[in-house]
Amino acid sequence: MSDMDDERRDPAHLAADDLASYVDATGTPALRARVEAHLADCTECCAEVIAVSRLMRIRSPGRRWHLPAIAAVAAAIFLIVVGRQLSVRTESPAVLREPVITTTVAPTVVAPRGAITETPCLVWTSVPHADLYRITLFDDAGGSIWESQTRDTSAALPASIHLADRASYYWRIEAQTGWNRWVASDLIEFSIASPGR
Amino acid sequence: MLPLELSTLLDAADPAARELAWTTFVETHSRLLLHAARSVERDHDAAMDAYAHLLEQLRRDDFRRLRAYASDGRSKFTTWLVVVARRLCLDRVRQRYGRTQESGPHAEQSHAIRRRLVDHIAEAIDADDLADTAAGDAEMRLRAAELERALTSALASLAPRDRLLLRLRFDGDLAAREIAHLLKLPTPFHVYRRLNALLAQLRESLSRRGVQGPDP
Repeated sequence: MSDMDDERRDPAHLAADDLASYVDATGTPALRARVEAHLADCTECCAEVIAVSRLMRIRSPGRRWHLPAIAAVAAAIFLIVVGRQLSVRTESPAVLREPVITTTVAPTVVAPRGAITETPCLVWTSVPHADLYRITLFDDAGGSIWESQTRDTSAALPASIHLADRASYYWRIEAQTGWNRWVASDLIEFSIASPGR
Repeated sequence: MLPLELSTLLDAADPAARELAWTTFVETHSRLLLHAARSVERDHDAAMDAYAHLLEQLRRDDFRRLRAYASDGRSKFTTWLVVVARRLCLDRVRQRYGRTQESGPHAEQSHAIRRRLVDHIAEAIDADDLADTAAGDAEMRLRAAELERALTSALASLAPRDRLLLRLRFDGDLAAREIAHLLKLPTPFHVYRRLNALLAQLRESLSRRGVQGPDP
């Protein structure tokens, strides 16, 4: 590993630049292989890779704020222009509105998960204020084999979908929380173990 | 190529320009640095102290640490900064409190092995069951230790990349998408497929050693 002047000079652990390049999925194949061989046996460095990966889900402020700033300016112009038109057209009294939703939880898959014995009914948790759910079922090659939408929190597979025994399938549920806005669950795997389903 | 806020800071010719550049640098990265501090220090006040410590250390010796960033394109500056920031925070904790027993490598490894055991063999077993039964009964403790040894041995026979995959999934609880990114696998499906194959391989390996289920 390179001799980086970081806080952990212990040569038994990864240098900061090696670890960072691994998290960024860059670096030469030889370097990546060396890093992976180290991570496989070093609990401390592996925990560090996991922690840094999680932290890097947060985008740097420089990138993060450009888009909202542009959107805010566009929204302000829209409100000024359209607001004036609306104020001319309508004289209706003010009405109470529901509070704005600022955070959204993703739906959680309840079943099926893992090995099951019969053709599954797909069940998931509800998401507050979600008015539509989209279900997608994939085969183990990643191809979408069924997609459907419902307002309920469960769905049965149609008879036209035949699931092979012991084959792996993956499914995901997305909840619509606003116009063209969806939050998705993790991709969950299941397989049917019983031949007599 | 260095990010603009960093190159401006490192190239600042006079103290006034340096102060201005430092302010810009902190404004640009304060959110990331705060998150790094909070990832180590959960308590709000402690996290703010760690953040202040971070700024002090990054400024120290004419930005010595920041000058050490190798802008050779191997990693993004922000990723490198998070790694360095976390290490600074961890070193600060260790200097103040020492390495805790719970966070030591042995404890983590033992926990990891039990987690893998749960996920690998039966899913139905509660992770605490092993510890509870082990505490109450000498024979169960012995059998549990044997089971852990068998699992450790089976894991050791895997390729490093496969062991890393299991670590990321079961120790780190990373999503398949994140694992695919780290291991440069094309899709999350490749992660699931490899995991399935590895678990089958581990089951077979344990079976050969006479372990058939969660009960040792």
